[in-house]
Amino acid sequence: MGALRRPDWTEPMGTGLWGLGYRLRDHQNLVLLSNESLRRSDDPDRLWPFILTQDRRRNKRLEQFIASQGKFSLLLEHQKLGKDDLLCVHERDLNELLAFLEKQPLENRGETEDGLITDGQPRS
Amino acid sequence: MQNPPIDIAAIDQVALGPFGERNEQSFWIALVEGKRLHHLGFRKADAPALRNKLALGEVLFHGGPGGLAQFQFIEDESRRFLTTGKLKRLYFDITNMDTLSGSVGEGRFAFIELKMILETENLFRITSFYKDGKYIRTTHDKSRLMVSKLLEGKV
Repeated sequence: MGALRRPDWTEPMGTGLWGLGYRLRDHQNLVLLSNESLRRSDDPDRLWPFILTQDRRRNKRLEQFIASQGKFSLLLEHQKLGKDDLLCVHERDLNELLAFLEKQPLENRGETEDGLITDGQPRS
Repeated sequence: MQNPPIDIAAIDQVALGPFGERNEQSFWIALVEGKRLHHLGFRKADAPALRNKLALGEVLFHGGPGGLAQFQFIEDESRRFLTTGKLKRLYFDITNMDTLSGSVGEGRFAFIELKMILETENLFRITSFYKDGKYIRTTHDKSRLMVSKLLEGKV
C-alpha cells in the first residue's frame, strides 16, 4: 500500500495534464496535477502541484484561503508558474491535508481570531 | 481504448484552443469532429470514439516528468510538435478565451499555444481562427491585433 491515497476520480485537465481528484465537501475537490493518469511509484518527497475546484471550476479564493491558514503552513508550498500561483504538497503530507479539508467546511467560511476555520456560524 | 498507432510526422493539421466544457460545441464538435482534426488532448473512457482516435496527448506527452517540471515539458513538447512537424494548417478556437484567466485549469496551455503562434510568423501564417464554430474572416494584421488583445495580461 503506497503513501498516496487512491484518487476518487481521474480525468484529463487540458493539454498534457491529468487531474487526480479527491472529493472534499459541497462539490469541492482537491485536484493533483499529474503527468500521468496512473501513479506508477511512491515517492514521499514528490512535490505535487494542485488546485482546488468548486463545481468543477478552479476556485482561487479557496486556495488563497487555505494558504492563509497557519495550520496548513507546514503542509503547503507556494510556487510561481508564470503569472499563476500554485499550491503544492509533498506526497507524504497529502493525507493529512485531505483529512483537514474533508473535515472543515470551506464554503461560507470565515477565520476566527484563533485561526480556526468556521462555517460562518457563531460559536457557542 | 485501443487505437492504431499515430504517426505524428504525418499529421498536417490540428485543432487548438481551450478544451473545457464551455467549448464543447466550438472546439470538440465543430473543429475536432466536424473537420476530423487531431487535438492535443488525451483519450477518455467516456469520450466519443472519433475524439479518442484523433487524440495526440498520449503520444506527445508520454514519459514526461512530474511535479512542476511537467509544465515546461508540456510547453516544450507542444512547441516541438508545432514547429518541427509537417503542419500545414492550424485551426484555433478562440471561443471564451476572453473570459479565461490563463492560469492552470483556466486555459493556460491554450494561451501558451496562442502566444507561440503569435511569436512565430510561420505558424501565424498557417493559422485559421474560429469562434463559436465559425471561421473569422479578417486580414493578417487584424488577426494579429485580435490575438495580441487576447494575450494581454495572460501567461
